[in-house]
Amino acid sequence: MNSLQRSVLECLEKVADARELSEKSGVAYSSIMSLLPALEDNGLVELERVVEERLELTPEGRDYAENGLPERRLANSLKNGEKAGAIAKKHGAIALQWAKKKGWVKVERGVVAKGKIGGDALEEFLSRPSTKSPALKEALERKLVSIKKDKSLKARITPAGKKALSGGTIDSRLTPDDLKTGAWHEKNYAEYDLKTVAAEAYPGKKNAYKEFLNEVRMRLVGMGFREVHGPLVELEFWNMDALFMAQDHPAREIHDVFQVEDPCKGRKPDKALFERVRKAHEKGIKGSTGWGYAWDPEVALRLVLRSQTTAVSARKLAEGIHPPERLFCIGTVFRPDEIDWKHFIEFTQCEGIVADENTSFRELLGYLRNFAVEVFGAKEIKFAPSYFPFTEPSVEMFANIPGRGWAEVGGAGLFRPEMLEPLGVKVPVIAWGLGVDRLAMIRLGIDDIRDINAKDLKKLR
Amino acid sequence: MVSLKVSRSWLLRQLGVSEAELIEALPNVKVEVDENAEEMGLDVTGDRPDLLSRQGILRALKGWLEQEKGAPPLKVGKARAELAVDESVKQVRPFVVAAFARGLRLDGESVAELMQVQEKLVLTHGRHRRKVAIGIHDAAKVKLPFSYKAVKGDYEFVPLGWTKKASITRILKEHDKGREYADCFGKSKVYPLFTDSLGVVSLPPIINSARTAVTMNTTDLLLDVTGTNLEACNVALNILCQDFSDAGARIEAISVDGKDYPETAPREMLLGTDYCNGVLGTKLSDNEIVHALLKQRITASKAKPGVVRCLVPRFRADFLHQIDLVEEVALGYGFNEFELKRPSVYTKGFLSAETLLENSVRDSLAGAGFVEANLTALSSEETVYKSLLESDAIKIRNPVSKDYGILRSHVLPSLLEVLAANTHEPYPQKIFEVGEVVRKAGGEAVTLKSVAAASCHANTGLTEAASILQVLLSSLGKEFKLRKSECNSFMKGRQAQIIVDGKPAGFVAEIHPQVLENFGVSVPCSCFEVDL
Repeated sequence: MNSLQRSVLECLEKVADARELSEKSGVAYSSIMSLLPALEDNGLVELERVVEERLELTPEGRDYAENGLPERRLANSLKNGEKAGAIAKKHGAIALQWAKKKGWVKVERGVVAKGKIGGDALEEFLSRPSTKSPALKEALERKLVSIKKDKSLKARITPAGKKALSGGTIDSRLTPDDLKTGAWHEKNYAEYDLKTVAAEAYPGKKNAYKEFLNEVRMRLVGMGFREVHGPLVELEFWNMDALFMAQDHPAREIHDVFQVEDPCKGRKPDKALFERVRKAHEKGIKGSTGWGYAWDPEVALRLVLRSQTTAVSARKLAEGIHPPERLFCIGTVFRPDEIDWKHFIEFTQCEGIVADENTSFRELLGYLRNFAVEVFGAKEIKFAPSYFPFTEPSVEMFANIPGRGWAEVGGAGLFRPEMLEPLGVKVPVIAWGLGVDRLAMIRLGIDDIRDINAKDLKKLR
Repeated sequence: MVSLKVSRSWLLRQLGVSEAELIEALPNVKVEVDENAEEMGLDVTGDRPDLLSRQGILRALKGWLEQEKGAPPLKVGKARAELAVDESVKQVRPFVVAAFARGLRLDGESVAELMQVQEKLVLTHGRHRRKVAIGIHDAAKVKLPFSYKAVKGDYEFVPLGWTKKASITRILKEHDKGREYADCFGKSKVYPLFTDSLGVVSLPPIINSARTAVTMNTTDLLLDVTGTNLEACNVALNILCQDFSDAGARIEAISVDGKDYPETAPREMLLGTDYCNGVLGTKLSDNEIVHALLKQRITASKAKPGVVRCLVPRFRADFLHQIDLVEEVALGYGFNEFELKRPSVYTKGFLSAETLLENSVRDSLAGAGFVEANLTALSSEETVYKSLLESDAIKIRNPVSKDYGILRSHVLPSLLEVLAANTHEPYPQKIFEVGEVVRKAGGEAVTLKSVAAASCHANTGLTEAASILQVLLSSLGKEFKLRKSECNSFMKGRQAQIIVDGKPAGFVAEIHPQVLENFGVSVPCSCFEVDL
């Protein structure tokens, strides 16, 4: 019980309604209305819920209360010999009618004369509205007042309440002084209303999507993959040419990749590597016919926003690997597209490679099944042939995800010899990509892809 | 992926299978079912121009269902017509091939199909008509001899869709197709023209002449294919001829400078059984490999033990290497028939140092009461401008929207956007992000990771930001110093440069009221950003 509750309780010697309590205790009516249920919860009072009728002046009623009734104003200002028409025009027909009814004026042959002006119950009512006033009917008729129904409370103190009152003063908080001096032995401390004790709080919080990506990372680490990264602004060489994507490949067009300005060209990679890639494209390498066109090194040196994390895989392969090796990269990629709930121009790819002398297409399918089970929690999977410019054979995986049904969850393949040979890789390399944004949307209950980058604190907190 | 529409009842009629069998078979021939309706919505991968027609899909399905085996027959009648190619086209659109397809019975459906094949082929295989373009004409309306030559822009003819003569220059400027494809000519002042003795047949790759238009009454077609790569043109002509031949037409070659086209001789390739089994991880016999290839409409036979001889039809454009045959074997075998192999080697997995660092930064700041955002690396010039930071951001040459016209060089402006978007939410608002940024250094674009935090509430100040920074950097085992700075984004005397290992690594500051006003934020804000 706090001091406010106490002062209310003290005023409650017998039954009282909330309005009386407010007047007696000096506590605002609205506070009384919220204090009483708390006291009831603690068993200190018994409450009766009542409906109170209350009179409230309408705007017109308030106007008359302040400036007088129109018939009063008419009667007071009346001069001898005024015509009824002019009066009605000046004060309103209603005013004239009421003045006549009350006998304050008389009308003879169109001329208005003073009558007997007396007191009026309605005027008294307007200054102090009461349900007992004889003028209530007239006030309601003239729409000067309306009846409002309020829910109110009647309270009665209980024996427990009386006992609590005799208990002495109540402090709102325990202080260090109370503890040092031992005063707490003698003191009573206010009790909280458990319904309102918890205030809204905004603790620090890690981003749900980033936490999800970490979960994916941990699962891949658990499967023996090592994490790698690469730059966001990338040479077309790493983003396309090193992946054996011909320079007239549709995915290299301006509608499919963002190009950058200043600097628009990057630094040339290792010269021998550059020439090997040129040869693979122009004439072919290791039993391949190549694409049979004139490869333009200037195109390869253009800078673009990375459009596929395979660029990172190519860089890592070129840096040199020591098979057996498993790598993965979770990275941002950019592709021009319509922006809507399903498409955004910046998104995350999760991709990896396995370089191993004995790896094969069958093992690739085995990896994909493991991803579907470990990362996506899938119960069932199926494969379909697919196409990626840098893998052959290429495969797409569909998984039956609990709560979602069949969905395409990843693509994979074995890197083409024309890609591996120039990079100096002598063992077969499996490459796979998983649709993690799709999974994130399922997992986090997001139905608009743009919410992955939400700015709304309501969602973030 | 290329989308096309194919009549389901037509496919079912041709194959004699149930709808369920058709739906199950399609993915196995690299055709994805997007919409299963009478007008089926199908997606075909970009490497298979031969699947861009109902005849092509039917051909592949017949192989998969083992109704037909090996390469489909294509009988081409000897050329009776000649096409003379003039030197003048070499500089603008050097290659042309052509053929007749005779004895067709066209109806509304097959004319629509004809237009679809043509459109999809030149879009993908033809790279928007730049590399390959196709003209299909009523052969009854042309008269020999044919020629292919370059002319000047004032040359006039009646293009398809128009009723009056117009100059090429005008067609390029005013005709729908002219405007769409004029780029194919680059800066050339001459234009290629396919003509007969009566005048213009087509202005490739823009428009046919109105005179040779195909109608419902057409029975014989003239096909012209032009482009910048001869084999790509020949592949397109092979696809068309194979489609028409499958549909019952008689194909008749046209001689281009003395050589008959389409050139249909299959490409011979050898596939080693060991090589194939090594890639796939299988133990298939020579015969099993042959069987799988035959299902893929490739004529195959055992050349000698361990070697399979393959004859790849010329309508297939995707064979560069033996590996492409291996995929055909996998396709013919069936992707879902393989026994999955459990990964066999041991490797040690671990997170990168970057991720470990990022995670400890995130732990620290979340523990300090900050809410983490995940914002885009793409940002806008306006945001940088409003934050009064000096702009060294990388600009995008072809943005899709002004809101995403640059790559951010700092994280802080993104956080200010979050504050701007949440002025109605309760304060204090404390937010942070660890994100990638790109900065120019030594003429290069360098990607690095940066962390920024902002605390926005009535009682915040430089002290709060500096203490959080201290908590963060000491948790990372880093010492730092503060050096007085003067940046317009921050309040004078309430900002500092962060020095780590003797080098500038970021800033800690109270945001300048002007910046807050620019973002419509009316609550004070302190912040820091530091490179990781």
